[in-house]
Amino acid sequence: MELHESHHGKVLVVAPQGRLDSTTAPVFEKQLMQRLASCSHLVLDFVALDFLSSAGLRVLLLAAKQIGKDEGRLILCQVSPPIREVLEISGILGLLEVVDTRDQALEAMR
Amino acid sequence: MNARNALLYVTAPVNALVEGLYRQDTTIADILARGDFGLGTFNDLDGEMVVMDSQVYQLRSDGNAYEVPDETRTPFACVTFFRPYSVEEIDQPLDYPGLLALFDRLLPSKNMLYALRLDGRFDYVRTRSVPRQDSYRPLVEVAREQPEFEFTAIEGSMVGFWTPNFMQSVAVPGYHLHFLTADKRHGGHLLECRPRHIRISLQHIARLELGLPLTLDYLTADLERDTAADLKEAEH
Repeated sequence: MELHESHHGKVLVVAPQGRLDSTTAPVFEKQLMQRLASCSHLVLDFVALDFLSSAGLRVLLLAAKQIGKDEGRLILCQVSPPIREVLEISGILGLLEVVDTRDQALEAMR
Repeated sequence: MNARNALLYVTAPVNALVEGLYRQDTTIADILARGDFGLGTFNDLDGEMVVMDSQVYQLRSDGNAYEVPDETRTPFACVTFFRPYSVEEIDQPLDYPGLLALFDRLLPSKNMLYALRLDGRFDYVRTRSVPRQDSYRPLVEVAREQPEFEFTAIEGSMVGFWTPNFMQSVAVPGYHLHFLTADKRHGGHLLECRPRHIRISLQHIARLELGLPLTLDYLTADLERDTAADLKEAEH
């Protein structure tokens, strides 16, 4: 899994590409937590995320908790229907802020 | 099925089983009305139960699987309607600690209940099945005498649950899995395995329904003792 990232003022946009599963989640967690040490406003752009398993949900919860501690904000965008379904069925969708586009996420962060 | 709607039905607190109450009044028909997936045992501790795809299998202490009439009773069973939302293929050999570590990575939170199903090929599986018992003999003593079975290069399924430690008087804490061979002829309570190529399916369960048996044994039992150590020895 590759991470594409860009900075927009105080906001960091991270776009994981590929699969977020039990194999890739530990690396994703490590990379995300390193970035959250210096940034508390995060947009996760899932436009190139092909698959999300429960292992990926665990990382999302850890990131959301860390950002909450730092009084920051986490927004997910461009979430495909299959990944939205995983978030919804697991009961986690209601814990996260999700918008349709990256522009909407960046606008919400202003 | 949303996690908020998914429900685990536990027929009786596992504490009662640990204290040797091996007869309760819940029938197989009762549990199939509340789930199509799960595990447990049978009255008189007569083997291990697997509930898979709405079929109930009795894995007796001879290591063989038997069909179960609807009127058969159970002192302890956990069932749910299994609708997994997360499925992963694992195409690499794992030892047992490696499998448990993989499970840990799959659970978003250890404070939740999860139903787990594994299907595939295993290099090695070790199980046990409890022998039929009279009531009142503590489970930990029975478990010391239970026959064990080994399988090599075997295809099959494992069904079971993750239960948080704080629920240890209700259900077996940690990972609790029962194994059934693909031909549905053998299996038992999982002690150890080495998967080769498996598919792991997982479901969150955010609600619990616990039955409290209306039997004389249960109503008059002393269940105040801390049974954590006994349960750990008997089930793991």
